Amino acid sequence: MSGAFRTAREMADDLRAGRTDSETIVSESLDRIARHDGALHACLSVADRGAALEAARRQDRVRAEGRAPSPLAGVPILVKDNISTRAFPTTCGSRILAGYRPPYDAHVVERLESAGLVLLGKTNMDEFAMGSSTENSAFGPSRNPWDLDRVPGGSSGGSTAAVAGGLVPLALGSDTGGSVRQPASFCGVAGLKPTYGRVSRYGLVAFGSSLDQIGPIARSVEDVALLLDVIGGRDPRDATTAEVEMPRHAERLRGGGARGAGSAAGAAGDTLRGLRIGLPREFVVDGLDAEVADAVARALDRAREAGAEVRDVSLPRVAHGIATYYIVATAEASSNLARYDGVKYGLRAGGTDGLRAMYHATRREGFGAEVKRRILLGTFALSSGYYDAYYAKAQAVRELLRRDFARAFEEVDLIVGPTAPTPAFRLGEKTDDPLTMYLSDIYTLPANLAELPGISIPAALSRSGLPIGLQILARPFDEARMLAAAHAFESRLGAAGAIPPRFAESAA
Amino acid sequence: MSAAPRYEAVIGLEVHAQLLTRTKIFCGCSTRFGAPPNTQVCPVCLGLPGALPVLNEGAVRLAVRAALALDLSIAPRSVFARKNYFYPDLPKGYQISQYDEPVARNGSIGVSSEGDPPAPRTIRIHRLHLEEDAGKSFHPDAGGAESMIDLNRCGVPLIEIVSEPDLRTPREAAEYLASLKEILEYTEVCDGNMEEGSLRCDVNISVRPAGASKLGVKTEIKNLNSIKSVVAGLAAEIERQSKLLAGGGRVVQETLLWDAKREVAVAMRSKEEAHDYRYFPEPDLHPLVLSDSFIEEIRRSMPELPAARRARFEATLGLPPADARVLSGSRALADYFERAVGAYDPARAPGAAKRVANWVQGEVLRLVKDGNREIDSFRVAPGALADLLRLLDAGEISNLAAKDVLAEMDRSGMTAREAMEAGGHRQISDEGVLRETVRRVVAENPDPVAQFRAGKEKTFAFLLGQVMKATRGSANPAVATALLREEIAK
Amino acid sequence: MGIDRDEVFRVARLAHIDLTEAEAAALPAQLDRIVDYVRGLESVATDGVRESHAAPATPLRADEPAPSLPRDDVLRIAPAHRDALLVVPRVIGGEVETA
Repeated sequence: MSGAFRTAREMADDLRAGRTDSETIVSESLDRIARHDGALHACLSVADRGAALEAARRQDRVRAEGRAPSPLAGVPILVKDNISTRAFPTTCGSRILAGYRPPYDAHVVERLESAGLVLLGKTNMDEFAMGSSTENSAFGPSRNPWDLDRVPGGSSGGSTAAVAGGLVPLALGSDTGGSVRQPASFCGVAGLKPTYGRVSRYGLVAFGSSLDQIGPIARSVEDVALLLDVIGGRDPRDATTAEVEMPRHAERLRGGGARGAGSAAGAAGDTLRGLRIGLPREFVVDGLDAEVADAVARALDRAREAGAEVRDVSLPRVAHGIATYYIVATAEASSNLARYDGVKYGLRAGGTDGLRAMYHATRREGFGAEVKRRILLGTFALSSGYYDAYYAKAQAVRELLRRDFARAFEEVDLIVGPTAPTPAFRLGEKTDDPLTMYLSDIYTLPANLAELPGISIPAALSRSGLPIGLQILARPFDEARMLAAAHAFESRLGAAGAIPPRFAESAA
Repeated sequence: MSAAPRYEAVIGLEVHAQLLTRTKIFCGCSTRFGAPPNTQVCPVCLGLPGALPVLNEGAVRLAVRAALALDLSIAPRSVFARKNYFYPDLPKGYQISQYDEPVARNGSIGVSSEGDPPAPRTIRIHRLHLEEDAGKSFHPDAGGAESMIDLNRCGVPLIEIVSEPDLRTPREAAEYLASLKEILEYTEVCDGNMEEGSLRCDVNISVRPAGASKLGVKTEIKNLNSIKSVVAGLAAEIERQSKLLAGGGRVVQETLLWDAKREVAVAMRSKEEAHDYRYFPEPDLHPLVLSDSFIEEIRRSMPELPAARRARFEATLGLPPADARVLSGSRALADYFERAVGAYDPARAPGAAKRVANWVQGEVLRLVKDGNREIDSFRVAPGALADLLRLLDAGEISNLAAKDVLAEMDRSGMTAREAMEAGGHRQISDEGVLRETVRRVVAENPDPVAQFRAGKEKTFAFLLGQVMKATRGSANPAVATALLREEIAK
Repeated sequence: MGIDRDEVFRVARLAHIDLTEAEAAALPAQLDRIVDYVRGLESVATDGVRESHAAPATPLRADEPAPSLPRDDVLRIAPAHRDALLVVPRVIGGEVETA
């Protein structure tokens, strides 16, 4: 594979072997952004060409001296626009932060820089990460490279569209209720949500503080592992990051197996042998598209062929996941978004009618409808007289859901299912009824509520040529086993690395 | 207050104390007072998108220390909560505080200012919790259209100490507040400066018919910047509420702001809706867990509390209660006094302690107060004071001269002996030397001498004074007296 | 039963958000539906469920100074400032909210 649709690993190999240099790779990335982003609208800001090439040249020099800081040094990357960057505006897809340039970098951005990756810009997203289609961006939607009339998913739709369209091999997104996994599924790329506490949120603009995680998006499971290794680990500036030791996931992928540390087996085949996979019966719902169900079933058949054991498990409270999520996440968001008041940064509106008028006008003009809906819902759930029935109740159900998963993981090592009930839908198809949009998060929300890691990998293309994703969930901090299994599925399913016809390099 | 009090007051105090940490509660910005505006802020305390709080261990230690000093029970597990409201000096739109599960509960302070004789009473403390301070807003023109905001103070660590409504009079409230302030200063938790705002007090006050058990409607008074204001504010509000009820009216629950200049509590213009702070557990911070060993370590390293120190001054050093109270007035003063005693007499006999006490309460404090200073800036070290007292004991200087020498030591930093020599204050006891002076004084003052010989005793003092003047206060008074009498008798 | 129109506007005031005309027309009904949906949690038995104390303890930070932001960075992003202070419209007609 050459050119734009190489994996980051392939680019890194080419760089190491001297077959190319970072300046060339970065230049080609910028060319593809210039040529294709008009159609995709994946990017909200793009690096100045001169600065980006200078950064790339710096990596080339350092590599020539034998001091490349990481395997991914010199590889270009885009980052979701809710991750703070000094070098670019950080708008969160919102008018209220239009033009806001943070005076600091997020922890993960510092890690990318230390590792020598070249940050080429920021990607489009649903406003404040609230949405499942990127249609809630104040700056216009992104489009799915597989069908430009369809959504790329959300809220990290810009990131997945950019990777799927071959603009860059790597991107970061954020996932609060599925916002990395679902768009990865819609766009036919791999996307991982780490265990809560695995990756620092310092610098990630908060939506649902107890649910948010930053996640890697790439064209292969190995790339996802490589990027996770760059950004993951304890950060003293985020008190919710865990003390749990961070394994070298990419190395383990190449050397180990899904049965955990100490396993001598290397081949993908051995990974699935004896692995206990759970399929929750509550995942069969009316809205589940037949082709999606079929793709998952065929994936599980392959797993069985390789010697995995697929079992039925039950997660009784999964049915209540959506209600639980839309109370907890919106409650936290209503508080997290109170800081957008026109006083210290961002938009200020309201003329000279006094302070209260300024608050109201700023937030009226600065927030879109979905954000307002969620703030109102969250404020309601926390308000006096309603707290017990809504917020406290939802946290209790959340705890029960955690216990459901814990019980299931006594029987199985991984839980598998669809990432989304359908492939990508059309722009405008679901915007009339917010509740309908919310219901499509049913498979992804539980992992955020239970603080589990989850990954979506391409499983198949639908008959109409739209990607369908397979989701794998694991125990907390068991990304290694999850990635190994994902890697094994990936090689068996042969769906990874597919190129959207319109964006192939041979295409006009 | 007028005539027979038909109403009794029920008073509770809420005190906010800034902790003496180097840095803020959730970030590493300095807590130093008086820095140029908006120079001590960072993404965390500025509430920038994406910033996160991390709890300061120093703040936790001081909160635990304060709780132990106030006899509160420490919760092994406490939880932070968000208190949500909008105000320009609150960058995040919420304050990180504690709600259902504070760090400490159920303590007390003793007071004893009421009754005849004053009877000791226990005022219960309901809770103590940690929270962050907000910034400062200024209104440059009264009635103007703008406010100016300095966010330096955002995130400074606070403890909030809430009493039960056990207080009954303004004086009692003042005593409670003074004791609380003293304890927080002694334990170096807070510097207790009410003028600068490092210690703030809000009061809750209701009245009810004397002897009734049901509580009346309470009002809250804020902006009381001194103990004096607390007393004045409470007295005024008790009077207002009593008059209102006596006249058949009803007290409305509201918050009042104390205007110290006009000595009146002004109702804040009514708000459209009551506060709904929508408290919920802070998702960015896991619970604070305090082990027994952590708490024990803090307990062991606690400095002696004021009451205990006073008691020890009385019992072990034999000081009268009045002296003990003055000398334990501040921790710095008490430390100074004790060190001086130790330097003067390692055995710390009561007589020695009293001698030092007299000098510290007398000349030392006079010099300190004259200069409008605190004992910390007094240049005479405790050991140097002890040296001076020893010179006095040895008769090398007179009492009078010693006062001058002390002032000189404070001014110049010289040792006792150096200052004595420099000022020519060495007491002259040598008869030979003094006789010269005495002869001269007698010769130069024939009239007073004649008057004395004629029986006017009082002129002796004048003549002795002249000898002292001529020797610049250094003449040994006893020797000079004897020689003067001799000379006159000739 | 979800949430009625008056309640929606009361909550909007609490959140200091004004709705545009279009939003004021559409949101109350949408929120009513959503609240009605999430009320489904009532049917889940949760008596006595408390978060398991497997929740870790918060890590503590040493009381050591770290650099603050240069003041220029603070003022650069501020919508209005003068003499190094942030400027906001004054509260009119009563305190907005205070602690």
